[in-house]
Amino acid sequence: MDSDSSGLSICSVCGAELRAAARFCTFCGKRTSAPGQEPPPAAEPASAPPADANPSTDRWHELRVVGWLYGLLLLSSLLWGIAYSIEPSGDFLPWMTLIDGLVIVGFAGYYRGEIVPLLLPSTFDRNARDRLVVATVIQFALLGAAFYLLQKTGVPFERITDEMQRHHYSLWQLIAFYSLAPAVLEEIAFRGIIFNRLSLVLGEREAWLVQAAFFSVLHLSPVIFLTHFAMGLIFGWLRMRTRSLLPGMVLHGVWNASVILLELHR
Amino acid sequence: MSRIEWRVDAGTHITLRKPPFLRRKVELNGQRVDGKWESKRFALTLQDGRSAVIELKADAFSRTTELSVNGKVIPDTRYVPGELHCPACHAEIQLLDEYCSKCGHALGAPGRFLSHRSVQSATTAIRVLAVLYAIFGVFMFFMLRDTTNAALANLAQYQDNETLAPIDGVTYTAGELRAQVLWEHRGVLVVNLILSALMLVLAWWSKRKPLAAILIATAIFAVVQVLGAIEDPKSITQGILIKIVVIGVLIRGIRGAFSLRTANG
Repeated sequence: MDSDSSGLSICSVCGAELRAAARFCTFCGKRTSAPGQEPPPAAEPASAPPADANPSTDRWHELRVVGWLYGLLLLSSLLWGIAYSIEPSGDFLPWMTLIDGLVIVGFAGYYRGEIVPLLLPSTFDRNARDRLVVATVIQFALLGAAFYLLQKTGVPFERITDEMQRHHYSLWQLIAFYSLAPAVLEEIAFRGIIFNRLSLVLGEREAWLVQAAFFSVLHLSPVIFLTHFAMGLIFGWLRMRTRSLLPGMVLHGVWNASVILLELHR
Repeated sequence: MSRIEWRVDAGTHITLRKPPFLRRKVELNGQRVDGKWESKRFALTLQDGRSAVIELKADAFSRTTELSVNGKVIPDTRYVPGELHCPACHAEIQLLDEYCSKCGHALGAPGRFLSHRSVQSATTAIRVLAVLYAIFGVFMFFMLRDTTNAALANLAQYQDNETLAPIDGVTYTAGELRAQVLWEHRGVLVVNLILSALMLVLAWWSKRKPLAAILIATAIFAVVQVLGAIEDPKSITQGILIKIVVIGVLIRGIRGAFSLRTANG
């Protein structure tokens, strides 16, 4: 720290005028305090930011990854939707599942260090099983009632079993395409990759809300935005509380399979 | 009369006034500054000898008025909170500080507060989308009324449980098809009102959590375009300029909200 001839403190690095009692220059950040005088420690903020050592450029990269994954899945939906509108009886479902699966597995492979630990059988412990039971009860009660009311108001839903009629799928093929594949792939995509990336930028709570919104919106039906948003919240809650993707996969698969079996029963 | 104010520091207050039908006036600490506007730039010298420039800028997405002092962009009072505090140690800081004088935390250039501008633009865009979705839904509801009535008239001759010829490989009963036709009429109103309500909620939420809200609004807007394109692929190019502008504003809003978030720690 230097003083000019008038006694004002100036920074010895950049020459800027220093404030009274300043420990650092406000223009170049150079420490001005004498050796031994340590600056006050930074106070803990009221709501602690996420434990994240990445600088802001890395965090922007996380958002870009989310954008790429979401964008590719949306593009896939667009292309298959156009294909179906051109050829309504076309058998595109296996290809849709394959392409989406490759995209998601590709991203999961890149982030395998994070995703694989969430898939270990050891994560499906007693805590996970207890939370799964709670989530299952809530999901079937709440969303079952919601879908029942929607149907009563006359909202027509796409009949999954129409695919059986069009393409002569067996029940097991339907379960594979509409229950197992979405359960595994969507959980990895939304509660795995997207949730992890968003947590680094937004923190866990906001990431939980945003991934649920992305999940619901990507189903391309505004009528079921709210129900699928609730589903995304439930699956996300399981992911946060159990640190595992397995309970969400189980619940997701069971829910989808129930929808198929209920439709067949009717 | 529009007015923009900049509080550069405790002793420097610049105001740009634009009375209707009259020329713009620049004031420094309440005193009018004589000068000329050249190519939408007004140069002035502050009392302590620092040079300042006011520029009128416009691009595809927005029109802005910017003040620079010694080359540093200074945000106007709309975007700067009344009191500024270091995000690390909460000590009071000044607008021009790039490092905290108490703990040395890097604050960034004063222009970081301009991120508020892009966030506000994105929030306005979300509100506009909410209104447009509602208007579109009501408009299409009345437009489709005649078509719906004609389709229902054609189906009137069938009983509800009568099976009709397969459509796209799928067999419907007359009752199911009737419900489908009725839904297509009501559904366009319901869906657009849902979208409008969602956008209004997101616009409200963006005041507290701008980054999350604008991310979700952008995702919804993208999905609506995809749904329209699936319904009619030619609609991808309809209104393409407006769609690009909206996406641009929303993405700018995401960047602005992201900057605010990282600036605040």
